[in-house]
Amino acid sequence: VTVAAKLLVAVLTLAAAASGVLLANAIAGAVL
Amino acid sequence: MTFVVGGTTSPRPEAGPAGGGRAQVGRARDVLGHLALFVGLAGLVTGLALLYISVDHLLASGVTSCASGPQPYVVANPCPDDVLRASLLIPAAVVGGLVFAGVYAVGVSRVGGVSPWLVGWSGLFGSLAVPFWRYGLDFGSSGEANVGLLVVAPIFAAMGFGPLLYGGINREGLFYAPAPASRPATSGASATPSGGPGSAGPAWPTGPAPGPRVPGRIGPRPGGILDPRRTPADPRPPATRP
Repeated sequence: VTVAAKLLVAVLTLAAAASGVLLANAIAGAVL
Repeated sequence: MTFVVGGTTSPRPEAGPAGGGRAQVGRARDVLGHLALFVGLAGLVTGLALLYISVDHLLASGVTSCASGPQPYVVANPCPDDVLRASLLIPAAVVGGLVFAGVYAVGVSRVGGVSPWLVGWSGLFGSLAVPFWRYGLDFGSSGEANVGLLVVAPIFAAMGFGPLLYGGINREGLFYAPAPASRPATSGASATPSGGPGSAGPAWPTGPAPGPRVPGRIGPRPGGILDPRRTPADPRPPATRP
């Protein structure tokens, strides 16, 4: 596995976590 | 040596150079596994963040007890609408987070990565320690700190950040799930530990057979009550079977 592939997985992992936080903010903003 | 970035690992020590290389390419091309990893992580983080926001909202409201809904008694303190919605959001966040934790676990079992136990546990307790501490020190109109919250907050912080620190340093056992080297090859893989960090007592049910317990390492002892291969029908540890 190349360094580029590892970097891609790391970036996508961070993006997934960040999108989770943003989605939670959006849901909470709509519900609360 | 086990090098981890997100969901990728270096070849396991017992794998040969050629086999490890093929297995790595296979894992890297496991699109479904990585998809489950990212979608599951996003959903799990959403659930944890919603839980944090809901608890923060409840504590910020200052409502200590209230009631709503049809019931045979007269309600002295009806719940404000936002408090009611926040309290309903908590079970929804928990159930949703658990479902996506399962999806994340599927992804981790296929391509390896940080254990869903560690993400869920540390995310839950570590994040909730923040509003507990914050509103424990909120003196408000009474001029007194909330001692109950100030007792709970450091406990939650220790429960959340302790395993996170330990698991970040020792990527093994319940904290980190090494990717299986390759599905067909691991069925006959040797259980003899080679001394590498990833080979000492792995806890993941889909990985190679665990070796003997190494003192000072965290993880279920082979054949112990936490061993996923142990079944109630046959409580004997697999290692002692004839």
